[in-house]
Amino acid sequence: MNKQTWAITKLNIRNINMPYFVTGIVFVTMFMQQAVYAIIMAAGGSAAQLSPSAGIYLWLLVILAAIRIPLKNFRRITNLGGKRGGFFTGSIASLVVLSGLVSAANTVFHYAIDGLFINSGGLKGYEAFIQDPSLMDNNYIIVNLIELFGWTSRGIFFAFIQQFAFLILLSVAVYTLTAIQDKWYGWVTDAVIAAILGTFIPIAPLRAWLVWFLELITFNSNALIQIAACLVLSVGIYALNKPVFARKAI
Amino acid sequence: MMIEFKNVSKKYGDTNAIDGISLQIPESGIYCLLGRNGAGKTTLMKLLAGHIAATDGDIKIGGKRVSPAQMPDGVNYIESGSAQFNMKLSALIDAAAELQNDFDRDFAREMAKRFELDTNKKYKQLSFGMKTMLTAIITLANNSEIILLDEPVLGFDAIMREQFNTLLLESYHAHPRVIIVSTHLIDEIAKVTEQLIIINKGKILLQTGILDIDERAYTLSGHTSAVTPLLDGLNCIGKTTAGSVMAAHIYGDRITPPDGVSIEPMSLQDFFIKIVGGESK
Repeated sequence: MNKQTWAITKLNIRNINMPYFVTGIVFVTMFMQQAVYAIIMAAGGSAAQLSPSAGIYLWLLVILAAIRIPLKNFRRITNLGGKRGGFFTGSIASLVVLSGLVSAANTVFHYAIDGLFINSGGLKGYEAFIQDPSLMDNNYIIVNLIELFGWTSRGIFFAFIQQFAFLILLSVAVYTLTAIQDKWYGWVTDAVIAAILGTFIPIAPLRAWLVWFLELITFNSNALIQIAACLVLSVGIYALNKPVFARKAI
Repeated sequence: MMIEFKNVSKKYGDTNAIDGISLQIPESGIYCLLGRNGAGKTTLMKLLAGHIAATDGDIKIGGKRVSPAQMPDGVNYIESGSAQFNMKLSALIDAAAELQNDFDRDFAREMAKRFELDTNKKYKQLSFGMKTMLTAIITLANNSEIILLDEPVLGFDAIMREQFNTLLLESYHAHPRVIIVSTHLIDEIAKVTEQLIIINKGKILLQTGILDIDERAYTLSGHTSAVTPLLDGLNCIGKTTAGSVMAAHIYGDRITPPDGVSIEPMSLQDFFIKIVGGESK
């Protein structure tokens, strides 16, 4: 990583206050809610709720940063003398660093805090729910997406790596869509995505393609294929930003 | 480093911000870019920095084409009043030093100190003038071969402007290069600039040395009947009449006026007003 790329990475990670704030508020709110439920349930209370683990809300940071960086930081970085090429490499480095940090944080949260809530007898986990769906009737069940997607089935390391690769793809897709929104081809892309979803979901053979794609990048039984698919797609999608930022007016 | 604009145009919708400009800047120096609001000064600088694309024509620096896809490395331009991260000034200067090659961090800190900028303050805590100053510091502290300063003294008081002009000269003498300064404060910049480029309605009206204007821009005043015959063959860029008295503003070779007609040098400001068409009666 050269000097300018590293400088831009640091600036991006430092200057995403809104994503930090929103993610922090949502995460703390959900964590408090689940902690309160854990106490209530441990004390013999009752609930009938299935909720995402608070840790999954950390993903918001990556998504919001991927919106904020091309929208606000590009101009500010060039106003400090940064170059377009540096922004291109610095931004992907920022997304990779943030994805890595969030993946690590959610993985640790899942194994430590979700585990604590479940082991203390307060809340029920995804595994117990799958074995006995009737638990839903009078329990508070927390599900972390890394469990739902099957990434925890191969242990903590793969849970981290598979989530990391998926978050890179997610952030790159959001970043690219945001970067092109002020151009006609951005609107066309939005329309094409909407048309694909609108057409593919109701028609069974086409829907199968969507399911195949989602399985490829999330539920894939082969971790290496899932990781490789996410990374290859990320590189391909991010490359589209090169001509976009090369022409972007400052 | 040779800068060359060849038949360059830039359109925003139907508006010609730059209209077929051809311009050459062959050597180092402090160049003043003068023009009214909306004349095309900022657009010209943005084109040269590769921040925006020309609609037509070629821009070259040292023979290499300039465009947003080929932003020149040797040009440093930051738009006046541009958005900055809300960080401490010391952190912004450090960030600029990491982002830019050839950034003189010590010079930037020295300038900040001399202009009494509190580097512990965050950007949003600064006054308008101080924000402009920070932009000027970050631009000028770079030792690039071409520095573009867009309205660098906007919001400055008279003392700050004087200090800035001194620093501009110090910076130039420490690192001779092309420095292009756009401003409205014409007579003040004349103390430090060597060359003048006047732009109006997207076209270059004049590119010349300040000394040339001192020598060739003058006003003939006297009775209308005495002044009018003298104007044949002279490049009269404006006339002011008050009753029977006329003041004719000339840009060209000096003449020796007859008795009853006085000749006075024209201020740069008057010259600018006359040449861009601000004639008064």
